[in-house]
Amino acid sequence: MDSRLSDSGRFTRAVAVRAVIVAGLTYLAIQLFATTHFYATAVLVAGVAALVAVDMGSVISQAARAAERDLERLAIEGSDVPTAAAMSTRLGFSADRAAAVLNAARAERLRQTDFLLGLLDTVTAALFVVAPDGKVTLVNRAARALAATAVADFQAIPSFGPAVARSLLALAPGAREVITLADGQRMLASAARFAAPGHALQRLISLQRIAGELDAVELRAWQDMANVLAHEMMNSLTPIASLSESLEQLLRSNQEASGAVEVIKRRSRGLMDFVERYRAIADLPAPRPQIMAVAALLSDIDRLLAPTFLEKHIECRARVEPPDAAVNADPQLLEQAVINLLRNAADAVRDSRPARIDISCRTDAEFVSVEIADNGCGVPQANRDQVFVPFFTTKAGGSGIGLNLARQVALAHGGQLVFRANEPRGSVFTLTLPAANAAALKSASRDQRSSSPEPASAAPAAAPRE
Amino acid sequence: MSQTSNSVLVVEDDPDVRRTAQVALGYHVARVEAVESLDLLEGALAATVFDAVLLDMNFVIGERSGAAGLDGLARVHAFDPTLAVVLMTAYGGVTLAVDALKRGAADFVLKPWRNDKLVAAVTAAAQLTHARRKQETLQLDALERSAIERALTRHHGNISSAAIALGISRAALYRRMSKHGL
Repeated sequence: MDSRLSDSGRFTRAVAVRAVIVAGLTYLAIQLFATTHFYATAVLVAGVAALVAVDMGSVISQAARAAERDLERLAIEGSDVPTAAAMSTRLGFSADRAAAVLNAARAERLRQTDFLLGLLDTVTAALFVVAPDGKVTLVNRAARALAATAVADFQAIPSFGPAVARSLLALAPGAREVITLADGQRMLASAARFAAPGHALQRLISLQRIAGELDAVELRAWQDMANVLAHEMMNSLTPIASLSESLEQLLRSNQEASGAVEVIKRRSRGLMDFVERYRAIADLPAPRPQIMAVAALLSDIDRLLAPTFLEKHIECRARVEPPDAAVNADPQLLEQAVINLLRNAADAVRDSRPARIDISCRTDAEFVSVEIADNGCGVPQANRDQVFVPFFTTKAGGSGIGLNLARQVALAHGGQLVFRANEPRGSVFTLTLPAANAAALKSASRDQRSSSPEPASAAPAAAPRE
Repeated sequence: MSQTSNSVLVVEDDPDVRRTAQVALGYHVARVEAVESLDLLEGALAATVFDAVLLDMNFVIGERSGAAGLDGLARVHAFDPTLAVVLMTAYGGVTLAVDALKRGAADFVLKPWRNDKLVAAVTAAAQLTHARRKQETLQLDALERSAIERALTRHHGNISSAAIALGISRAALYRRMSKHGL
């Protein structure tokens, strides 16, 4: 503080002294010239005054140059208080205030940037800003979560895969398209183009998770239609099925007639079986979720299916990461869904040697994903869109309801079930459910500790010796 | 399944389904009557003593809540609490079935039915009705017996005063006492 004052004082003093000297000498020179005849002396005095004036000018311009340098540095380095202080030492005027105004403006701009970035992070859609050279220049939180790795090159984001990344980059501005990520998730992509001052034309790519909402709407529409159809069908089927049974008894003596009625009866029985399968999936009870450990669920199911796996020489391994992963789900429904997925996998690996099913589990803040991967026959490209279509089956004697039911269970919980092809062969089903945090699980299991198995054991399934 | 002396009332709006139920049950129960709407329910119940009612849950096209059936169930029980009701619906929800059973339905049959299952459900319902009626008679007898006993105690075994207190003749009281073995 002191040095600043004395520095600024020195500048003022130096200028003031020189000004006084110039003024004094100028006055003396004029007096000499006007009242005496010492013209030579007067010229000499005037010359000295001029020299002092030049010196004063150089002192001022030096200070001005220094101040200019300081200002430049301030502009480059930002809110550098020492610089501001140094400047004010050289120039006595209100440089502090100028620096303060400048800093406040910069802080406001930073605050606005933070606010906008924070706002972007709250957007649930994943946003990528991509430069013309394919480099990612800005991402929001959803995009970082989606990419899972540090994002530099858009085409190198592993969760897209090169083909999807290319088609995303080729999206025309304003266009919307449903894409399937490498993990089977479906997303709605849209693109926009914008130019910021001083930047090349940027591309904004946004990806919105749609599976849940879209599938739920689709499912409800399908159920409504099927319910109306089924009601009519069942009402019409009632007399056919029942009367053909009654007639068969009446017509026992007439072989031809009873043979004909027998056909009607058989076909109506077939329809009735279909109707009964339909009922199984049309009337999914509303889930009653509770907090449950994934590891415990899997080991329960393993106990149930282990004999089947052993008999069919299927090696089934489960890995739950983290070991205390927990979901908020209806135990009966979830168990049924996972059993259906495992049965489907077991059917798929029937002809594989060795036959393997791998169950893994991943968690993030909101969701727990259980992946069931097999090395079985897989699903032909042509049938991939029909995997979850009710009653669609490629297996002799298959009902076509197992996977649909599993998907309905996932959707009823606000989760999803997606399918993708496994590498090099087989299928992967990913069941995503809302996560329950570990603390909630601990407090929930405190009451029923008896049955909870070692979490880390993670259901090591039947491992045949073959 | 052999024929029983049971009589059954079918309440169903679809004429074909009504006829079908009559045919399917015809071999197994003595009498099957059918009405087409709930409006005719009480009239039919008043005219005949039935052993079971087979009641459709939906009477309006497009209506699948089963509310009409549950209403009918309540009306049957208001008329005769002992009469067992089997509900039937084409729109079979587990939830609906549970609801119906909670409200006192004897059983729940999904359309289309298999004849043997329908017959089994209706026969079981008739048996339930019989059991309830027997229980009711027993209760009536027990009530009468305890009233006579109370009257006799109150009048220190004096038959005449007890008969006057009960509002019946002495001879009638003697008859009832011997019926109850008093």
